[in-house]
Formats: sequence, C-alpha cells, structure tokens
Amino acid sequence: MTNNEKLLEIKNLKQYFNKGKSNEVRAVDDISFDIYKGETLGLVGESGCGKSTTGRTIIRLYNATGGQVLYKGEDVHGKKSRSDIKDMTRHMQMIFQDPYASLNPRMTVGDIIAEGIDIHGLSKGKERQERVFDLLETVGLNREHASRYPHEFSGGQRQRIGIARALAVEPDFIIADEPISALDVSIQAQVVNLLQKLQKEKGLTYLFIAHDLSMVKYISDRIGVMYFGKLVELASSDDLYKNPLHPYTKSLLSAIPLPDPESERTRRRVAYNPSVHNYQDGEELKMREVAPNHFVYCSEKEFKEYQASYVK
Amino acid sequence: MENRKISPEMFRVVGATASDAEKISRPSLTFWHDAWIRLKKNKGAIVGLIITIILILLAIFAPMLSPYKYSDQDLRHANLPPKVPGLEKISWLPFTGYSAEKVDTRGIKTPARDMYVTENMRTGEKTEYKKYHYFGTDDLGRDLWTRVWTGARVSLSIAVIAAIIDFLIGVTYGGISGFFGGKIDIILQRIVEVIYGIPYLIVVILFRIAFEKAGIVTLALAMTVTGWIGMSRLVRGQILKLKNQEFVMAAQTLGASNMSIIFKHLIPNTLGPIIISIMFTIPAAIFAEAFLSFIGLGISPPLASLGSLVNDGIKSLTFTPYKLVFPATVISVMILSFNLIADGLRDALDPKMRK
Repeated sequence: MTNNEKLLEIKNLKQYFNKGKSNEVRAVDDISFDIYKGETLGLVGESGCGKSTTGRTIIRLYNATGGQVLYKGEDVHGKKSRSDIKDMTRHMQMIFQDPYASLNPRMTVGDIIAEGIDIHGLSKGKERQERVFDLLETVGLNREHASRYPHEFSGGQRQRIGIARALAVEPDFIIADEPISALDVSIQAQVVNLLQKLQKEKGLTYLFIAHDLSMVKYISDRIGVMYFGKLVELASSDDLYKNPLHPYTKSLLSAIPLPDPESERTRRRVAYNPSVHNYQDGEELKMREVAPNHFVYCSEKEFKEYQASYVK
Repeated sequence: MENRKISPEMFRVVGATASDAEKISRPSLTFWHDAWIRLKKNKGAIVGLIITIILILLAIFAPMLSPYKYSDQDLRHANLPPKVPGLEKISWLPFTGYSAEKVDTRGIKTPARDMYVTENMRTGEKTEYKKYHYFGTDDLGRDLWTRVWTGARVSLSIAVIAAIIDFLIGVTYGGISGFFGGKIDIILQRIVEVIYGIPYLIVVILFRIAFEKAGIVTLALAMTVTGWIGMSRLVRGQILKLKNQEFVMAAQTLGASNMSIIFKHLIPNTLGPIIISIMFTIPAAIFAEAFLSFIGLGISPPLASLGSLVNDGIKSLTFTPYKLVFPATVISVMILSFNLIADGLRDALDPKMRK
C-alpha cells in the first residue's frame, strides 16, 4: 500500500433487523475497519453473512442501528439535511449485483445514466447529452445505445451501464456489491478489467463485495472475511492467502478449486465448526493485530497461538 | 520444412472492430410500442377494440343525429315495432314495422299487421305514419333508438367516471401505503378492511336516499365508495414489490427524492397492471350500473340507462320483445368487447402471465 490516507472509517457498525423482537437478526454485528484512499478492499463470506448489508449500511440505504461511518472524518449517518445527504451521494456510489433488476425497464439508457446528473444539476441540454455519450464510451459502449432500453442489452452490457450511472456523479468511493456474480465467467473478466482500468484512471477507491475468492484475490489489495455479521479476519490479500489464521478463513480457502488435477486430488475441504474456539465466559473477543496489518477476531489465548503459528 | 515465424504484422483487421461487437441490430422499441405489436396479434382484442369504438361512436353521435329526443313523448305512436328504411321490405327481418302474428290461449289468431298504418274505425280511412323508428317506440311513444344510445352514453359515462375515481383514489392510497410502509401502512390497511366490510348495496341505497334524484355522478360515486379498494391493493402490492428493487436503491444512492422515485420509477412500472385493472373495472361498472337500474336503484327517468331500458322492456316481454332485446344486446356486446380488450391488454402488457 502506497497510500495511508484513510478515506473511510467504519467504527463499531451495527445493523440489526427487527430490533428487540423475538426474530431479531444481527446482520452486521459491531464491525470496524478502515478503507484507504485508492485501494480495493475485498469483502468475502458465505451467503447471508452480512456483506451486502454492510455495503448498504455504509451508503445509508439502511439506517445503522449503531456505530459510525466516517467519510474523510465526516459522519455519513445521523441527522442530516437533504442537501448534506445529496452532497454525500456525490462522493459515494454503488454498483449492484443483479444487472437485470438494477436498471429501470421503463427508462432509456441515456436517462438512466443521466439520472445522477439531473438530480445534482451537473449539466443540462447538449452538455448533458455529451456527458452521457462520454460515459457510455468510457465503459465501452456506443453512443447509439443512449436511446435504447435496458431489455435490449446483455447482462455484461447492463452491468457496464450500471457502472456508467455510478460514474456520472464523479464519486471517489464505489461500493461494488457482487457486481460480477450474476455474470458469465468470460464477461466477469470484462467487468473486472473495466473496474481496474477506471480505478487507475480516476483514482477510485473500491469496496468490493463478492464470494468468488479467486476473483477477490485478483482485484483486492486487502481482504476482509465476514462470518455471521462479524469481521473475522482482515489482511492484505497476499498475506491472507499465505497465512490464513482464523479457522473460518482456512475453511473458506480450502474450498477454492484449482485448475490442476494434481493438486485437486490432494485438496481436502476443511469444514468450519465454531465450537473449535471453545470460548470461555469472560474472555474478551475482538480484532487483534497478529502481525502488522493482519487482524484476526480472537480471544487473548488464541491471539498468542496465532502469533506463534504466523509464518513470516 | 521451412520454419516460419508468426509476427503481428502478418495480421490485419478485416472487419468487426471491438465497438461493432456491442452493436444492436434490432430496431429500438419502447415498452408501449412492443405491447401494441403484441396486442395487434390478438384477434379477439382487435375485434373487441373495433366493436367498442363503434359502440362509443354510436353512443356519442346517434342521439345527436336522431330527429327525436330521448324524452320526446308521442302517445299516438306508442309501442311501435322497429322499422328501418331499406330493411322494411325484407319480411323475415324484424324491421318491417309489422306486429308479430299472435295466437291466444283459445287458439284465435290475430294476423300480423303494419303498426305504422292506423285505420279510422268509423270511416275505414287508413293513415300512414311516415316516420321510422329503428328500434321501435316504448309505451310512451319515445323513440327507442335514441333512448338506447342515450342509455349507452349514460352507462359508459358512469363506468368511465367510476374507473377514473377508482384510479385516482386507489393509486394514491395504495401508493402511499406501499411506499411508506410501517405504521402508515398498518393504519391505512385497517381502514381499507373496515370499508371493505360495508356491503356495497347498502352504500348504494344510502346514496339513493341521500340524493333524491340519482344522476350520473351520484351513481358513479356510489360505485366508487368501495370500488377503489381493489385498485389500492393492486398498487400497494406492486409498490411493495418494486420499492426493494435495485434500480430504486440506485436512485436512492444517487440522492433522488421520494417524489421523483415514486413518479419516475415506481408509477411507470405499475402502469401496466393499473391499465389492465381499469379496463376490467369499466365493464364491471357497466354491469353494476345496469343491475342497479334494473332493480330500480339506478338513474331516474326520463333519463335512461341500458339497465333501466331493460327494466322497462321486461314488463311487456311477450308483446313487445324488441324493447328488451335491443338494450340487452347492447349491454352484452359492450361488456363482452371491453372484456376482450382487457384480456388482450393483459397478455400484451404482461407477457409473462401468458401460458
């Protein structure tokens, strides 16, 4: 990491649904991490572990139950005037998972992309039209596509329209909520390469939510692993793959298939059983820095074990 | 064999650049254009559409062009059978102006005779009534052709007004209930359930008592008191389904206001089901109006509606069946054609529903 400027600080973020009722769900349960300017932070975990909820809470689609999200030191949540919220939306944008549901079927692609431009009054008339054409070309589509409707496009093309829409307001930070999981493998590479190209050109920061581990390793600088609403391990991507410490991370990594029959024959999947921790009452569980920039959610006892097992 | 090296210079692009790969050759079609193409393929819907247009044109213009007014009485020429110029010579058609041959219980025959010719009992002098009544006249000598189309006009107006009020109240109510959700939704839905529990006939009778003379507007209002509930539920369901879609979230992350989300994203996407629902409401309202008029709760005379004409006609069904047949046929054809259109629209606007 070349840059250590914090763009986003997430502090003790909590998102509970049906709070105080018998069917309370702790989708995001007290997680903290920082996102540095210009990096890509990958967020992985199994289905339903709260990855998407984390993303949506950060961008204020849900009101957080507790905790803070600081963008350049300014709280995103809490009471805000409409113009403050509007201002914040220019800095943070989101790319959605389902390219079929994320575009309004009754609007032309031009109007979809220009929606942010219109809301923020960035440009009008001919200038607006030019901006839409620019954005279409940025994501590798043609000018003629502006007057067409979303149903005429393929999944990959739709996802790129979604990217163009997010770029329209010139954000610094983009939350990519499983942007490739609904796409064909060949198209996945196309979209990921586009995201990387844009990051280089515009200095964007990404929070990349996914469950495809190999893709996350390819795109991310750092990776956070989530399990049942908690962040269990956070490290740079090479470090995480080389030195997985938390048993859940080990289990996740053991599930990656490799295109090599030799190693596939010997690969054993390790199932994760939360009882291996055998936590006692009164033990304090929190994120501890086992090695520089390598955080693991553990007890004091485990912390020592992990430090001992850490391969330099 | 010669060892050949392959270099990039040996290749050249013959066509199909990267940007061509993204081209769409199909012409751009809007949703409505696409739906129209699907509707055109549906024969039933097109037949329904044509018949409906003809009926609407007749309802508008027939009373205007007719030499009679719907309330003009002429007791000398009461109960005349239908007579149409051109068709009067064709004896097997019921447009000759002749009464039907009758046989009473004792077997005595009364031969058919031209009702448009009156015979002076004393002098035996015959006078011919030179005018034509396409659908005949009723017991007060009012021209039925004019009355049927005036009635159709009244029935259609009531149905359309009822549908519009249903639409306005239902969409607003359901939209608010679905979009804001939570406590607002719970309160609004309990109110709906209470209103839904009030029997519709009682409301109509109360309205009839409150407004001595029932006109077009009072009847339409009586029908919408409970009629908008179906629409509000439909819209609420659609909004609930749509508001968690990702394109709505995308608009929220872009900073769109609630109003622009409702009017730009939610309403345009519910328009299909709303239109279908309106198209089914209209024939139902025509039917309800006819039913109310038939049981005497409908429109007040001398104004006629299709239902009140049927009610008049049924009193003398055996002697002058044409008084019943014409308005009843118009009601049936009207309801059928509206239903055909609505059915076709449902297939056209919501292709996923079709089997």
